[in-house]
Amino acid sequence: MSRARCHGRGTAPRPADKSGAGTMLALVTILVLVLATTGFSRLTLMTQAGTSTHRSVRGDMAMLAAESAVEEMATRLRAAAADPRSPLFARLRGEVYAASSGRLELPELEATPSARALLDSDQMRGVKLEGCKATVELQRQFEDLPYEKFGQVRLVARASASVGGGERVVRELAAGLELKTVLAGIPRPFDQTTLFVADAWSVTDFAEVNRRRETALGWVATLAREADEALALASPAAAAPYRKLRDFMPSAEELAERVEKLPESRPMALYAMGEEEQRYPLDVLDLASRLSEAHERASGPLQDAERALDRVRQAPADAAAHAELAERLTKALQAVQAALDPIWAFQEGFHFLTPSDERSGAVSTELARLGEAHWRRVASYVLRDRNGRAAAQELEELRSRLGTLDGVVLIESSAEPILLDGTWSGKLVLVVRDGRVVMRRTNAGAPEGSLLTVVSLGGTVEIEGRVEASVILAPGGAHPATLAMAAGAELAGSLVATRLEAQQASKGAIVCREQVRSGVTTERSTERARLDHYGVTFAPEFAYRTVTRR
Amino acid sequence: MRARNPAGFGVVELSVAALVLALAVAPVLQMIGAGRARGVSEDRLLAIHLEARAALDGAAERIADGELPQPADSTEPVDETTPEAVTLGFEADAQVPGLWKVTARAWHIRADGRRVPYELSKLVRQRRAS
Repeated sequence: MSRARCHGRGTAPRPADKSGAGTMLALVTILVLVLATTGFSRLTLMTQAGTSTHRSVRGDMAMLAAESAVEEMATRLRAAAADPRSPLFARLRGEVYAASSGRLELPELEATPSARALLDSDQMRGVKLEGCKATVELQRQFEDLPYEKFGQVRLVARASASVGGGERVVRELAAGLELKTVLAGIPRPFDQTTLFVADAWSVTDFAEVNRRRETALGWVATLAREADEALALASPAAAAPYRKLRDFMPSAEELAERVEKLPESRPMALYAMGEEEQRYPLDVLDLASRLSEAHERASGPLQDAERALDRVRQAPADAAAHAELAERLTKALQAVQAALDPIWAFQEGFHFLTPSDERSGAVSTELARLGEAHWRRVASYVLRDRNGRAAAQELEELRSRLGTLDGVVLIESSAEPILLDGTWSGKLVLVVRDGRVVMRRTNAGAPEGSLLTVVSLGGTVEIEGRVEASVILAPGGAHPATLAMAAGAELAGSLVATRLEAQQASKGAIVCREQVRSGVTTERSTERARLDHYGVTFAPEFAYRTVTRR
Repeated sequence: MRARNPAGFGVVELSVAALVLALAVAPVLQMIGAGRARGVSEDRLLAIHLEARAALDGAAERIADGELPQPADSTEPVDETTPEAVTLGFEADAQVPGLWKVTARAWHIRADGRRVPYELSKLVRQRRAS
């Protein structure tokens, strides 16, 4: 019998008839469920990925805000450190003693208006700069001077961005910036002097000077005796010129007091402390040579006087012989005076620092400190010849890039001479380990407050024309640094030298400039210190940079 | 004549099943499509953001290396038809010497196909010790 489907009346449907529709419904339901699950999971995945992308992008926008705030704080800090009108100018130059951490809060930097202005754009809507913090975390002395120190500034900025549903992503950026504070001029106490030569014997032979002095004093005594003898032989009419001469002529004892013997200690330093624009020709330093020349010039008039006295002895009544003798004695006395005056002038212009002076030890220590190791510690930039580029070229590029150079720049090596002409604005100490430095009419039109100091550790410093700068010939390596001055050259500043070959510098002069003096400081007060002589420099890159994500 | 299989589906059953399936699948496919479009849009947003960010960081590096931007270094905003290109603008901060505002501009194509300008800015300092 066939099993044809029959839905006719009276015929009950068999289970097999219903199973077709049920199976179909089940299949469709399963298929729909599978598709719905696939679709939902894909949608969820996409939504999650989208949310994650959105959070990343928003987090990065918060990061941009934090980075901008840190950059702004670093830039404002650098500007404030160079601006005497800023309250930070003096605070950053405050002294730090061993017991202190040197910590400083810098709330002036925390406003960051420029970084906040970035948040006004469409993309940055919902990004908020929540807080900024600037602190000098730590400061330490380089050596033992409370005003020469290094430290680290910590700059922190926290920003957040909305990601929907009241939720925010937070980025906190912390960066460390190293700073150095140094006296960007002649180190104390040498800034108080116009000229300082640690080895005074390098400029002249003081024993020889004293021998010449004794000789000249002896000549004065001889001339006095000769005048007295002539006076005794002269008639009353011929005696008047001798009396006048004797009245004018000091005794050798009086002269010995007036023209004192120079110290002959070894070691012994020589220094001069001038007034503004006071000029010190360097040819006066080689006193022994000058006296030698004066003695040569005096020998003729002295012999002439001796011969004239002989003639008077032979003819005491000869008025003409007396007149000639009086004239010869006057000329001889003038020549002897010319042999003593340089000694007197030397004592008036220069001072000596002998081992018996209580300041001597401290000054020697300070000078010995000015070697390469010291300059390397305090230098903000170190340049050298490298990769075919000369250090002189790098210095020029640094100068043109930065405009104003402050602080200490150490040039380790330079095959080419370092030519310093034109204007060097700012307060710069340029330390050259070896090689030539040529200064030609340097800083003639430099802005007020500019201060250039050249330190040579073993090369030659050549000066032409008037140069507004100071020079230190510091203790260095095997070859002592030397100074060569062209005829008529003037160094308007200070000259500090361990040794000075006076012959090489003799054509020039040092001109005193008060502006090189940086004042004095005590443990109790910096009121008398000229804080603008301190250079505060910052490392170009951050020492560290950490990001916290929440 | 071949006998009909009593266990098979009828035309009506098949039609109903197809209708139910179509009604159920359409929104699912729509959901999948929407998710895909959103994903593409997010991808584009991420790509454009990363490109703008890279351009900003590149400019910052150049300034860090001592290359000071000039006004001429700023490039004109690109046309909407070339959305991939990122242009840079440099502006010196009027109040803080040595601080630069660098702006990267591009176009972002949204999920609905609209093109909107995308602009990111960052402050960058000249790296120097003074």
